[in-house]
Amino acid sequence: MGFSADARLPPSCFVVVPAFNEAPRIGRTLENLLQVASSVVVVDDGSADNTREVALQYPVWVLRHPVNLGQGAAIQTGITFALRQGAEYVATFDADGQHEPRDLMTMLDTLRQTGADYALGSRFLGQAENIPMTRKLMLKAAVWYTRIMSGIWVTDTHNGIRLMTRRGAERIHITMNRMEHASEILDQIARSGLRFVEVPVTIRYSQASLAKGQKSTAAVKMGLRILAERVMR
Amino acid sequence: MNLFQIIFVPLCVLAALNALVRLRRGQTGWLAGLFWCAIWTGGAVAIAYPPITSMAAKAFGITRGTDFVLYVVSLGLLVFLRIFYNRYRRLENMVTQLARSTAVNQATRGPVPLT
Repeated sequence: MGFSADARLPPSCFVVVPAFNEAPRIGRTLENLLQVASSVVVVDDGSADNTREVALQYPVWVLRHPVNLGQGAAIQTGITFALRQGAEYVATFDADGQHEPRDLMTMLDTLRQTGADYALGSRFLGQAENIPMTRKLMLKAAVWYTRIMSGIWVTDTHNGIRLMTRRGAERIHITMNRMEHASEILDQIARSGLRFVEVPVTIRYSQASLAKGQKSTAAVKMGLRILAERVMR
Repeated sequence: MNLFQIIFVPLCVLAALNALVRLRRGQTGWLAGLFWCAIWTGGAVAIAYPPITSMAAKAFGITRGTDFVLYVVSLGLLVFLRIFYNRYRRLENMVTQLARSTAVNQATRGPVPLT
């Protein structure tokens, strides 16, 4: 889908960027993101570095958790804040610069054309540049795990780029603070009865994003936490 | 008495007495004090006189006393695990709500560019 170079998201579209110890990367990410978005909410999840100070050099909202809670908690904080600010659309976008900001334009266009309430980015419909084979296999396993556990047929599960309407965002209540939130969001989308669409997106893996990303052992722990949540609640 | 009984019966009795002392000193609630006293006393009796578990098992229609003890302990642990998991999740949610409220109320805006 082609857009003019100066095409931008409307101010009522808030982009939530959860960030934890992202000081070396977040400046670059915000510079790119601000080329298409004017309402950006950075949620500093109790970083030990100066992520907050770096983010405050840009025209964005900056919220800070007093302690580190996890990406899920940070995203929910951003969604809550965006809705209070009167957002009509809420997007999520990782702070490490692995997403392509212009994909948000495609996602907004898709939501408007289809009338769906959720646009979920899929690297497997789009491009995953420099993705290691182990990461690819791990993500494919997560896709099947989600299909079985949540009953939602998606091609990508733990992709940080999403866009939702206000109505869709109001149905999201993330309670799993850490990386399990990605599965919880899909559960809640499935239960909401609202429509979702998958949109091809590009993810660029770098040394930095791979270093910070999910390790195989963390993925196993995450699977166990999801299972515990389903069995014990 | 075998070696196991010689070691563990006194330990269970001491633990039961400790629960009573803590209860008497007000270091624990009456329910917790009596619960732990009963658990340790029951343990001491079951170790000192193993046929008692078989008698309890037969009363419930189970053949072996050890099976009866295993079922009771396993079910008890599962119940406690669930209770404490849910309590942990409630506490985690409370901390999260508090942190979220602070973050939202103290939101700061970076410099808005001149248009």
